[in-house]
Amino acid sequence: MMQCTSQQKIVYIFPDAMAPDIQKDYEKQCKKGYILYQINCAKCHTKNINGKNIIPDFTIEKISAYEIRVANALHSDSLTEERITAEELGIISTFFTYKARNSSKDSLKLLNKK
Amino acid sequence: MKIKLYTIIIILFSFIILFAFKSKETNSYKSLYNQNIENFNLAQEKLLTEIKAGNLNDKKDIVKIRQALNEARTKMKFLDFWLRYLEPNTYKKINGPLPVEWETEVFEKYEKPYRRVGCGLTLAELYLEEDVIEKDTLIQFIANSINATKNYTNDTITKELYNYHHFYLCNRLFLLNLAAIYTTGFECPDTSKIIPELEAMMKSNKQIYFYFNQTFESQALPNSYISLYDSALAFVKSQSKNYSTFNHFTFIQQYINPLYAINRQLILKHHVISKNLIDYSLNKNAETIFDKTLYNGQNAKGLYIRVNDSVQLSEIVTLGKLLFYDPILSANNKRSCASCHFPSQYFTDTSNSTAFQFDNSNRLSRNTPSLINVQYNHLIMLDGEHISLQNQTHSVITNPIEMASNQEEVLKKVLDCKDYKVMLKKLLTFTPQESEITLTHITSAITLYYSKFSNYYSPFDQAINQKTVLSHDELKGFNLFMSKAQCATCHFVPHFNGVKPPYIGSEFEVLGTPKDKAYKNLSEDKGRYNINPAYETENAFRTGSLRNIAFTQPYMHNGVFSNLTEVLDFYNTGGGAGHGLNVPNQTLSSDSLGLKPIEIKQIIAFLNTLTEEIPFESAPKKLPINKNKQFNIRKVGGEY
Ligand code: HEC
Ligand code: HEC
Ligand code: HEC
Repeated sequence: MMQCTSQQKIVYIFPDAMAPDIQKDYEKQCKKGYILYQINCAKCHTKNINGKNIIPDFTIEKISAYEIRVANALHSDSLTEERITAEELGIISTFFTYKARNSSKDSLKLLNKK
Repeated sequence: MKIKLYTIIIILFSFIILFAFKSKETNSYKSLYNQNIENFNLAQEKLLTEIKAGNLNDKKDIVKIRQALNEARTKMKFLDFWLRYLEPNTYKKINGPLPVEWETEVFEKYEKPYRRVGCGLTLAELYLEEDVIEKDTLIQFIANSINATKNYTNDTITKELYNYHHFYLCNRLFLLNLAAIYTTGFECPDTSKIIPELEAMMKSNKQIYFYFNQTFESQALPNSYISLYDSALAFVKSQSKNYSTFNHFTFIQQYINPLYAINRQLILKHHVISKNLIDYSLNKNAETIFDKTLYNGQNAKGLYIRVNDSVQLSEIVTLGKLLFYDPILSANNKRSCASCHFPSQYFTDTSNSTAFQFDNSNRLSRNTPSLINVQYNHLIMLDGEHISLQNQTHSVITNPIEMASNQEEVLKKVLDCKDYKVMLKKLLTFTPQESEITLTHITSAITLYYSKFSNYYSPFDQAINQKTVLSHDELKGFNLFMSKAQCATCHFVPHFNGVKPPYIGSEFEVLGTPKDKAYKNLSEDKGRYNINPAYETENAFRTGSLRNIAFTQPYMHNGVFSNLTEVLDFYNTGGGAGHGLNVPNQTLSSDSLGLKPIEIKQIIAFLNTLTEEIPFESAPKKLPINKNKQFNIRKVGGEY
């Protein structure tokens, strides 16, 4: 496993088999995905627990499917085609694919090392 | 002991009564749905029996089958309101307009198109017209439809019927279809039945409204809606049963469009929520069907999607305009977008069938299309090669036979112009997710610039929104367009392009467009086949918008026709196949339309009312200065 951290100490975990330059590309995408998440999703999904902002662990299937736009009432009002593109939803799913899980030991371990 | 038994019986009894009563009270709307499904199933079973028992070589039996088919169609129409909305894919098995369809809907744009086989009543009816009828094929059409109908009794679908949300969305789709397809024969091969079927369907929908209002009292349709709907029905009754003399214009103008406006207000008032992908593109804020924002085709803003401030938007447009005219985007600094898409000519090129390639001697294979209203397509280019306007812009800049540049070169040349650099740095702040200026900042500014000319309306729009009137010939022309001339079975209201309700996909059709006016050869351009090779897609092209058509000649993908009379002659004689070309997969009917010269004039008069009142702008006086002097001899708009 490779680690890297970015804004707000987000830890991304890439598979070892992924070539370093590809990892770099993905990390760039993840950072973009993080900002897009902050702009479009955080106000409803980031929870503040004991002063720490916790970003949920969404699984990719839930986001990359276009169904996300109409998944619930709030989404059908705020995730319209005029607000966010399908491509951007894809970048957000990349972010969630490589973001370390909140509960996972990996992420804690990596954070502690820092 | 006895008393105990009695009490149990009494309790049980009262429960039964309570239940019976309750289900009648609260689910009358749902009972109607169930009842209609059952009736439809019975009619289909009867049809199947007739087919199985019948001798397909015996005229009498064919008549019987047709009768049973009609009966089933009528029963289906009583359900259309729900079926089409609640499960659109299954609906195609019941009433598929095409035997094979290649789907590319917006939410699947990133995936490969996939093949969907249609079945059901319309196809069975068309099949009965063929010379040789195989019993098994006919049975298959109906058996599949019966199976598909069963899906509609699944809990996943029927649970929707317990709340009011789906109703207003079903109704929205119903109204859109009333405007765009129910009166045109799009799914009704026997044209003598179009208006009678319309009347029957509108009448049976009154029942749906009645039971809905009874069941959902607090969200009931108001009297204003019901009484206007009654007038619409009375209008249909008063009209000719012949769809070619039916007044399509008044029907939409006086009834359907105003009903749509009321329904839309109710959607907002009751906070109607959609959970259906079918609503993906439709916009709740469009007040009428002829509002340009009715549905969202393309994201013209690109990277700047979330910019809504008018000052910021105009900054983006200012940059986009300069870039549109700037040949610095091409390898030799001699070509700009405006070299082919002349902004003074509705962003098309009216003097050339096809433009020069980058080498300035060979020709491109396609006519330069207008950029006005291009944002109302789901797929871009006549073969649907691109899924977004920004991809298209990127591609033309880097295409070796068009502008022949590349990403690095363009970025460097543009950023070496001080004015551009300042503007782009500002625009970068509008896109926090981007860490540096990219080619997409450039392409998005260009798409926003030319798309702003798509926000205008035509005399036709004014008239259908009851703000002006059209002449007798113009109205006749529209009514013919919607009926006998068959145009509206492909060019749908409101954009008169290939995007039909619920406006989530672009359609491709095979017309047999010739290579030359003498119809010696079929155009060599394979169209959609280049992107998605299949029997059905060979020589298929995207159905374009007819807005501003009076000013966008020459016509068709190869610019083969120089005026609308030639185009109408093409259609009137059955397209390529009708003119004797070999086009086995033509989707346009190869029969003559039988349009008289006066009718052709009237259709053209109608098409002329689609010219939008667009405030065109003059070209920029000069372009930003580049660090490198040799680039500063470039001309505004390019040289060829
Ligand atoms: C206006 C508030 C709002 C916004 C903005 C919003 N969501 Fe949601 N989202 C919700 C609500 C409410 C739910 C349903 C309740 C829940 O599961 O938390 C939900 C559910 C979800 C779910 C399903 C959760 C599960 O486990 O089933 C996913 C995935 C999701 N949202 C992703 C996103 C993404 C990605 C974005 C940004 C592109 C976003 N949401 C933006 C309110 C919002
Ligand atoms: C050499 C002439 C030429 C130049 C230069 C050119 N175009 Fe085009 N454009 C065409 C032709 C021809 C087509 C139709 C191609 C097709 O359908 O495959 C087209 C198609 C398009 C379309 C798709 C229209 C539709 O209906 O789907 C858009 C959008 C477009 N061009 C924008 C641009 C922009 C923006 C530029 C400048 C960056 C540009 N074009 C430069 C000739 C040109
Ligand atoms: C079977 C579907 C179909 C029918 C019916 C149909 N069209 Fe078309 N129309 C198309 C397609 C597809 C194109 C693009 C063809 C091409 O580029 O070769 C087109 C192109 C056109 C164009 C040229 C557009 C341009 O910008 O070059 C005009 C004008 C036109 N149609 C008018 C009509 C009229 C008027 C009718 C009725 C008489 C009609 N169409 C019926 C599918 C149809």
